[in-house]
Amino acid sequence: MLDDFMIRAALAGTGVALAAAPLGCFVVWRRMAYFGDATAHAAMLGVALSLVLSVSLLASVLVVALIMALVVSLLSDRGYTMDTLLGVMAHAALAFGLVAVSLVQVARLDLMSYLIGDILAVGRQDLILIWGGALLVVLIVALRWSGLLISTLNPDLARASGVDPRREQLLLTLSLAVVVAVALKVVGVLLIAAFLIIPAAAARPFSRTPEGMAVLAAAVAIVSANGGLAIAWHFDTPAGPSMVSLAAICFVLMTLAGLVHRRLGERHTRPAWPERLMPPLSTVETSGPAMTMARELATIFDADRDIAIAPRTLPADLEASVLAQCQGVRGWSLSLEGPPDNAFEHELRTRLPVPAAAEALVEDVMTLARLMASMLEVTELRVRLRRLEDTMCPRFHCDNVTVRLVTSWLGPGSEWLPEQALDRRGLGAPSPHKPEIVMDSSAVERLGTGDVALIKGSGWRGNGRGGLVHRSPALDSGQRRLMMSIDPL
Amino acid sequence: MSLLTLEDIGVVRNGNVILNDVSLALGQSEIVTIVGPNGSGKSTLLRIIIGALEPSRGRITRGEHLTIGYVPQRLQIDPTLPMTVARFMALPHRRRRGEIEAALSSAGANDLARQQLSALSGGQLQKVLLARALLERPGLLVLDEANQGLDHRATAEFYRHIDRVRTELGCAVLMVSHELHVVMKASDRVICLNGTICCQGRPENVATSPAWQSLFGIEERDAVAFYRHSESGHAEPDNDARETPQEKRACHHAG
Repeated sequence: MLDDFMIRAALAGTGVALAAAPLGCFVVWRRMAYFGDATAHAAMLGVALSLVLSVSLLASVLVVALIMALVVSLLSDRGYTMDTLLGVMAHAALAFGLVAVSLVQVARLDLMSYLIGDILAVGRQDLILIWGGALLVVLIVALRWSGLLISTLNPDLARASGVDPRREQLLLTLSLAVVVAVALKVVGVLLIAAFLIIPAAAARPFSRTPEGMAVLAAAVAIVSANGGLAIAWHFDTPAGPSMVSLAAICFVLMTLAGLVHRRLGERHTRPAWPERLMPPLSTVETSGPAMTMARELATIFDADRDIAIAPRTLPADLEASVLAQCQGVRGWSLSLEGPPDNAFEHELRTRLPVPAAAEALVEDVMTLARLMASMLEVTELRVRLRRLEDTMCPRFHCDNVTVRLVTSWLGPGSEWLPEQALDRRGLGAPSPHKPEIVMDSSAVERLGTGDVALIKGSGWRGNGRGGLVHRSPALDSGQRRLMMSIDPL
Repeated sequence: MSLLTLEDIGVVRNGNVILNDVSLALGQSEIVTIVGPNGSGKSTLLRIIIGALEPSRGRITRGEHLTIGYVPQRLQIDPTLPMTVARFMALPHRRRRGEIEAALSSAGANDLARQQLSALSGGQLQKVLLARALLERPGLLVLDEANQGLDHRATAEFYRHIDRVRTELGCAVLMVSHELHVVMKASDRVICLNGTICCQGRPENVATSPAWQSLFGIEERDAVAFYRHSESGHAEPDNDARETPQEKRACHHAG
């Protein structure tokens, strides 16, 4: 039966698919896609050499691919930029190979068969080589699987566990050269890298573990190889490109299916907004209360809202810290700008009046600042803390910002007016010709001590009303207030 | 008998001296913290200790059968690599499911086993990394700025956990940190690194402030220490002349 060229072709395709898929996973995980390309292109030089020196094609391709891979990994360790290096070497090798092949015009050399493969011409001898090489690669990858994985994840972690990441890298490089050499006849120089990467990429959306991804990638590769062959047979298309095209179709379908699957999953298990913020929030240990706060504050994104309030009671350590900062007789204020990082935190701590007792307050400020940064997707913030004895801004006004976070740790919170109780024509500089801002003084609302609020300012995108109308609360004599505002920059 | 001895370690990279003349020995179940400003060679020293980096000079002797559990500063996970927490825990050595669950639950991360590594928050990832390091039953646990990204409370809890681990496993702990005040409370020995070892000793000896015992006192020291380190190798006299002799004495006599 093996005399049948179609069966030989199917076996050859399956063999290459088996080896390429798990190896391709590592190529994807380690971002070596271009590296695979370079090794494959170098194979053309190997073809030329085998013709010139009349040595075995497989051996010479293997050697050239290996040398190429080693040179690239050596040079990349010495600080050359990887993509430039690969860009130079991959195409230089391909060009030199093509020139060399044209110079040694052996009788009826079909260049195309090396560029896009000639699977239908696979002989019994080739089949043995392909399967031998494929099994070798599968064996290497299977035996060194854990070591390869941990080296891929983090080389230092591998070292500490007694795995040498450089040896693992070398094994991968070696395997890559072998796959390139055996796949040359099946998919050709130009498409080897595609055969490595596309099945792995297609498998990603449906994989939860690396093993799962390797197995699924192998399945995609085998289906693509045999399906591509069938397409080539029926429509008389070139076999290698048909296989890669089918793999690419699998990739598109599986990626789309993955997206739909995830969307559906999201709709069922996730409440709308705050969880989607989890990645940017993840630097902060987000506890339950913080999550609830984020959810409350997220309602600011509703178009018909000017204020979002997250009520809270202050924990005792925070209260103590706040009181410590307000011990002195005089008021103080401080303003910091920048991303809410460690340096920011350090400066905040040193600039508070009593750094020794600042910890809980600093922590609260940083939590709110990071929350603000992640909700608004900004990096730079302006944080202002003020300890006041006098009423700061007694007149109702809107802030000239997009949105502002405010909270008062001590004393009364800001007062604000619901839309139905105000006349916006009265806003701005006081003038006898303007109407009263407050139409119903009983409707004035006040934030509680500790409450965190997001209020829209006049700069809010798409806001027709011009922001929340609010003012500082009146303070009785001797009453102190410690408040903060955070603005995005 | 020390677990690990470094003798006269030097590291030169691209003509820059990163570490010079670093000698230290780690004893059984000792908690040692390396502090120092950015660029002082802390992470380089850790990488030498875990074997990820060969020193240009000097000798490193690891005790026989010394296993090292390593918790890196951060873990970049390529989004194309699917990896559940449970699978990660069993890398590179296979572990029984029960073992993994026990390790996770002792780190307070028992509900994370089926989660994807890339979906964890900073604090959760830190717990998982620590749990994995402990699965190796290390004789030496090495932590690189492990409290990064944790808030104050989570950091305190993290160090309490480290201390429990030391008691339970009897392993030595070597860590690197910025945050003096937290670290000093939790360490047996503090090593001040700035290219070379400036001073080392028990935390209370390193920090000369009489108010050492109070957290706030240490924080003031914190600021002074950083200020001094940012100048070239402790050589410059401090503006506050009163402090200088005390500080010098501490550095030479401690440990």
